[in-house]
Amino acid sequence: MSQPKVIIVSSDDEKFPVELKVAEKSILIKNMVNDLNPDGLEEDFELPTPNVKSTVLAKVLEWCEHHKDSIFPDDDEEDAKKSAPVDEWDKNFLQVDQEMLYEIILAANYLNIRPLLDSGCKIVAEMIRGKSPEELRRTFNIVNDFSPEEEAAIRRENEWAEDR
Amino acid sequence: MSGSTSILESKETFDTNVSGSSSGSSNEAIKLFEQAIEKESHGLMSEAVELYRKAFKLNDQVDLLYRSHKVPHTVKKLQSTGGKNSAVKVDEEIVKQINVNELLDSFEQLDIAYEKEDENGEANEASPLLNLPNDIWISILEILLISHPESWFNYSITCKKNAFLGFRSSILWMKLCNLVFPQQIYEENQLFTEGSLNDIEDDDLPIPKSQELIVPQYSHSWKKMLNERPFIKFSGCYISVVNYYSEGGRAEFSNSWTNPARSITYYRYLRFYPDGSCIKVLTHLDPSSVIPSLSRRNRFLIPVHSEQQQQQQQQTLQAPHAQSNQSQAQAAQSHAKSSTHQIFKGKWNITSDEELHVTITEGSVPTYDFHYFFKLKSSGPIFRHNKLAWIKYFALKKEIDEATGEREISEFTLKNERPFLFSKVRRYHDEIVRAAI
Repeated sequence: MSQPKVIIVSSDDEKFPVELKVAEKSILIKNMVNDLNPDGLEEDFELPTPNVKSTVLAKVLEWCEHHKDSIFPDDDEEDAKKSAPVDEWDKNFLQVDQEMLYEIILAANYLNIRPLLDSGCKIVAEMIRGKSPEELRRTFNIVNDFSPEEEAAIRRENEWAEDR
Repeated sequence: MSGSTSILESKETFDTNVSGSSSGSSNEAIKLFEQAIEKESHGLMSEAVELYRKAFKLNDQVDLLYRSHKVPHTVKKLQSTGGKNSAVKVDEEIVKQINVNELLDSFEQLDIAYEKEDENGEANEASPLLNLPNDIWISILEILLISHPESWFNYSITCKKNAFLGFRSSILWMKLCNLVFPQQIYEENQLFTEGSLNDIEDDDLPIPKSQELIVPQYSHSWKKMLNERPFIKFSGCYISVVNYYSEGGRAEFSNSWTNPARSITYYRYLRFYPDGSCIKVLTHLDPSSVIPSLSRRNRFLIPVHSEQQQQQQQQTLQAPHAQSNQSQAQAAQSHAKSSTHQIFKGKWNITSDEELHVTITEGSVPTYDFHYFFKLKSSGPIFRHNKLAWIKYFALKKEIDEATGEREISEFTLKNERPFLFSKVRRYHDEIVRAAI
């Protein structure tokens, strides 16, 4: 008999049977599987993810599948991890529209998949990097709602901190 | 050229072409006028005056012309990057009365405003990414703080809600403190470790590495700590522009009422590294030609405008004996010239009472160490920790005098010296981020 699977059910009731190893990339799922199967997984196990719809779940599981054998560094190297460039595969994988990127980041946050969440945040950081405030307003469609005096006061009190 | 710097960039505003309405001679006049402004900004007064004179000779209204042509263009350019409030005259009285923290707190519950229609009247949506939870946005801003601090600022200044997130989250100020202070070299810590035989835990040092132990001294405010506690910056260099007049004697039988005067300008540069090393340069070259090669990897500056010339010099220097007498003389001359471009290496540390001590160990005279003492200062509330004010400067002979048992000391006058000011250099920052990975 084949290995029992974890069947993840999306908010719109689509079922995604995956290997345990793939599902465990999500710390949330890993903990739930362990808590509810203290003697190990003996048969297929269904798990609902009411916050994640099928299109997004499919995408997230594609990432988990690709990285099922990847080993990610521990959390203690926070700064090095944050300044390291995005993994090439992740970068291509996250070449999606802003809506999808938003959904993937939210799902990674909810399912507790740290490396995917980090890659997503870095992609957003890259969209911001090197742009002027006005270019950023165009990129994200933000309206400048400051009065000239408010903006001047806030600038003066904070801008110095970007030099170090 | 790859090494773009804030100083180089600031020149760009002057490079744009004047619109077609003015005649050739006005164009020429404006060009001279701009060159004069440029010289003036570097403190090269006599050259500036010369250029202003030429410009006014060509067109006696060149100043008005300059304003009518350049200023609207510059304003437009500023607004296209900074937004509607750039280059707008603000009411200083109102600005002064604003309590920024209270203002930012009042933005907490706001939604991000967005343009509901685009230019063609089509319905427009805000980016869905703006709806990410605050804690995710804070970690995005944290990534930017590490790799690209001005992008943290640029994003946070886009609108009220983002300003609340970017400037009012103590997590981000804590991050900044942790990026800055553990990299500082404290004299107290050096003395403490030198005197001890055992390994010392980072937190047992007189000035502990762990910033959580220090922040209580600043009313538990990370922002207050960053604002009030001085530090050395690595993503740029410190420049002191020295400009003075030296009065000469009158020629014999001269009818002149005044003595001839000469304006002298030179620059001192200091660049610091987080491992405690630093470099020092004294030269007549201005920042734009010095900054690209101001690195501890180089022994000499490579002035930007004469890179080719410098390469030729290097070649002749490598094989001087194979040259004719004439080019030997040339080589000697160029060597003498490049020694004014020499990069001297040394070390630095700071004290908790806000002093910086720079020791140049491989200075212009090999038998001496050169000691510089500065007070770490801010040139105002907007520019923090950007100024080094001279305290004293002396040379100390490396060898101990056998007769007196002391080292010979020669103190230098600070009469002409000017404080150093910090200039950010993008490329230096990238080097540091790369080294940290």
